[in-house]
Amino acid sequence: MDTQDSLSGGLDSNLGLYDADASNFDARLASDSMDVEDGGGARSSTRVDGNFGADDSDQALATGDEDEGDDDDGDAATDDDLSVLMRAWVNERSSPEILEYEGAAMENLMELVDFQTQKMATQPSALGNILKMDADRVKYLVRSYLRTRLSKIEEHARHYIKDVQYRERLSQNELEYAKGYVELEERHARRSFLDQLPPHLRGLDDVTADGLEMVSKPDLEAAVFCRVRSTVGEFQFEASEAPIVMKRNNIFITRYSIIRNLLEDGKVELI
Amino acid sequence: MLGDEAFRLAKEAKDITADHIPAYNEEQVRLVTQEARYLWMRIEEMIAGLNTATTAAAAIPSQQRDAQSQVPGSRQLGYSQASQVDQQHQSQQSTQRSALQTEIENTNAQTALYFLTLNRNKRCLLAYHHRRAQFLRLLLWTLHLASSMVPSSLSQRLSPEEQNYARDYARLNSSYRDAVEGQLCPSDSLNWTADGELPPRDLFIEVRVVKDCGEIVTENGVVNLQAGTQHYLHRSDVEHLVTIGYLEHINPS
Repeated sequence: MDTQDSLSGGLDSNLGLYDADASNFDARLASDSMDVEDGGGARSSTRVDGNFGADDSDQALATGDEDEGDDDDGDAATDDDLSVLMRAWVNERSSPEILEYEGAAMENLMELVDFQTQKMATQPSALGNILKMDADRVKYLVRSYLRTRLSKIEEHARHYIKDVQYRERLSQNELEYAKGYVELEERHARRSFLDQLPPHLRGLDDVTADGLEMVSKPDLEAAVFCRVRSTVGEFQFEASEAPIVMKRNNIFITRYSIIRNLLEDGKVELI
Repeated sequence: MLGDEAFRLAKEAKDITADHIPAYNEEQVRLVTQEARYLWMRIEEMIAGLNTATTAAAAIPSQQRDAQSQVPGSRQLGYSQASQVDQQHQSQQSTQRSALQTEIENTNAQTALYFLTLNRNKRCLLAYHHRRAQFLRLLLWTLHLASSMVPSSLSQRLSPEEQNYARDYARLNSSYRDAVEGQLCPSDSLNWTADGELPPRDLFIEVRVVKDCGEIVTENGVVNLQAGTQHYLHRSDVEHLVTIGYLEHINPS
């Protein structure tokens, strides 16, 4: 239990980004110290150890070697629009690069909010207040998600609109925003000082002889925490190391580039 | 000294903190760009000088060869004499060549140094403006992207160009917000610029009025926000007034 407690303490500080309060949103964020898996931590330095998460019924079904979770938070609940967006939001806030745009879930949710807002008018005020709070929180989520993306777009706007792969991840509005932002930055630089420099030095996307580029890229080697959502099995983290078994609800700290594909497939989530 | 001006600019970029920005140093920016133009001019001069030197040097041996062939009977002076003349020519040529060589090397080193300084100047300029723009963006977000709300004590320290930047940035964002809200919630607002760090905790908050705000219309009727009074109101109704400091949030949990 001690390890569990200290670990969850460490995680909280890591999750400081979105405040302990966010756990109200999502029961899965609260660490459930029901079952600590044994034989964990010693395997690799990348392994953080511990078994997190309240909803292990999925694994119980898949592998049959886990106790049935004693809560009702099954997988049906984790795949509704709110959970999809929650996950996308947390992933987005933790990953160094911009991820796929979660447009559909957001649109559905906002439709629900709209519906709920209309319903609120006819409710008694106590219930109405609760519903309004609920709607406000969803709006907060959508807002925070979109703004996180905007700030990430601003960081590497030039790279994102140049690279086809990234361009496809942006929504139409975001792409326009990125283009507008690059234009704005360039205009600002030109008028402030670039036009005063010799013509040969006015570029903003030069590459030097030793391969240094002016256009910044996301750092794919950044360290991230990730939790396994569905058992992956043996996974090669480093070419030089032995493969490590990735079971559901295991938590790892590793370089982003290593788990990038797993994240895209939805096999892991960032925390 | 070379690069000093750029260094001063970079140092000033470091002085920017979350709540303070020094005045835009137009003079320093001018000095750095001036130095850049001067260095570029020197590089061009040096390369041009080197080009004439090499063409001149290339011309010399052929002239000498011409001169040699123009002296009839130089072969008849006898073998020893002729070889002496040849040696003279050769040593002359080699000293010329080595002189040219050192000149090329000198110029190379100097142009490389100047070129690096140029790039460094450009980097410092970019960093300086980038840091300031970053500060501006953060400021605008806290002001709900209203570029006209920038307090005059701050806008004095911005260059005219930066003020344009702030306006354009606000415009860019509002057009994005309008597009998104039109798509997601045509009949509602996302409170786009509300504090993004903390999820809403309470529906109602208790506020004390710091500055007179007049009357505001809430869902439950009109509230008169007179300085010194205290109210218990819907958070979303008054949140923007709290952010810009007209109201004070009492007992934020």
